Amino acid sequence: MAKSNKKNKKARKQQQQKAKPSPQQSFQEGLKAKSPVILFLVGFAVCVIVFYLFYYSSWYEENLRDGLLAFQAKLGGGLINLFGYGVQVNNGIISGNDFAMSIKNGCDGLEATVLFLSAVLMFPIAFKLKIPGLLLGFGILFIANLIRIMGLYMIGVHWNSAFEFFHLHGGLVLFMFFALSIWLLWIDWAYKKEKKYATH
Amino acid sequence: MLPIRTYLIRYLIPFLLIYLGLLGFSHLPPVREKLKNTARTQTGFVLNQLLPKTIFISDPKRINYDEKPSRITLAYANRGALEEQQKKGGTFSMDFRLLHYELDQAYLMGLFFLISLIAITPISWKRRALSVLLGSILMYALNTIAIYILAIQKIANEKIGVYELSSNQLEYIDLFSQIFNNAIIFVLPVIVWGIVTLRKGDLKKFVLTPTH
Repeated sequence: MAKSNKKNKKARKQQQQKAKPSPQQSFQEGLKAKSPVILFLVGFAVCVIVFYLFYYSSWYEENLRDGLLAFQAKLGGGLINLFGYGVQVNNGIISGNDFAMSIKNGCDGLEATVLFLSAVLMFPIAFKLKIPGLLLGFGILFIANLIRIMGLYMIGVHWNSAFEFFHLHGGLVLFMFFALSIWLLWIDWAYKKEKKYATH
Repeated sequence: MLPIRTYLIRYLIPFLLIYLGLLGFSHLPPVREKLKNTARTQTGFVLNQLLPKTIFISDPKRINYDEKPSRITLAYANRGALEEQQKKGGTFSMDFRLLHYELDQAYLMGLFFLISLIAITPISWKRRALSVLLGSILMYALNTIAIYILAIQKIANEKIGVYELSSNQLEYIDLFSQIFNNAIIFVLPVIVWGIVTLRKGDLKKFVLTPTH
């Protein structure tokens, strides 16, 4: 009896050892589970690097930057004036009686927008599902950035001491999270559409 | 119609609460002091190891500089020139330059952004904890690289007799520093989040209203 118990224990131990994957196997399995994510992240990182190289190039700085910032300042100023603040816009500076702010590189919302566009482009799903995401997402983020400029101006007028906090955390981190959220909402929509196509 | 309400409850509000909670906690005076001292000592140690031709002083009492609450200041000089002066003995004056960086922008914002992202990701608590641990280590390494690049850029621009770069190299370092110091706050945390948190199929868990 005791002998058969020992045999059973030994057999169980052997079975457990067989079921437990080696560190190499578990690493390979982990990599396999990660591989689409890694591919996506590499593609995403390449897009972002290309953008940054362009964004900080002297060509962009000399030919596009000031025009784009002035254009955004003009639109932002127009939006602020809808609320009766009577601001003036000159060379990317929005100024009113109580407060003035300059729209600088980084305030243009381009980083968050490119992050969103890259994430949509590199996402492993049919391209036809990406087009609405790219167009609509770009439009939403562009408008959201104008609202951000308007909001920051209003904070500058009514709660000046909090301007820096909102500029840094609300204006940048929250805007980046907003871009990520739009991406998640697009994934939600795209998966459902894909499922719908698959069932038809 | 997109499920905006579910999105707000499940993602946006928790994200904001966690991010602001961490930010608020980091602004408590004793916590801030501790964080500043740790960051200062760590940065000083790392820079002294990576740039041995320069001496970095991180002790604020020795620097004797009135810094802003969220700013960290290190003093640096040409180590060789300093040692030579010391060998000669007597009184001497050494030209120390200052290197500043913001604690929030260099270390905390990116880290808190990452932790908040991990916290709202629909995965198990065990995976969340592991992701926070790995992500924090990775972010710390990236932040340290960013400060190292900043230091190289500053030393090369100040021309103190060590780590001098050609104008071409300096241009590249300036560009790299600009990119890295910007990306460290928003873009790198997103990439780190993807690396440490996401596995195949995880993104499908973000789907707000599953179709049957």
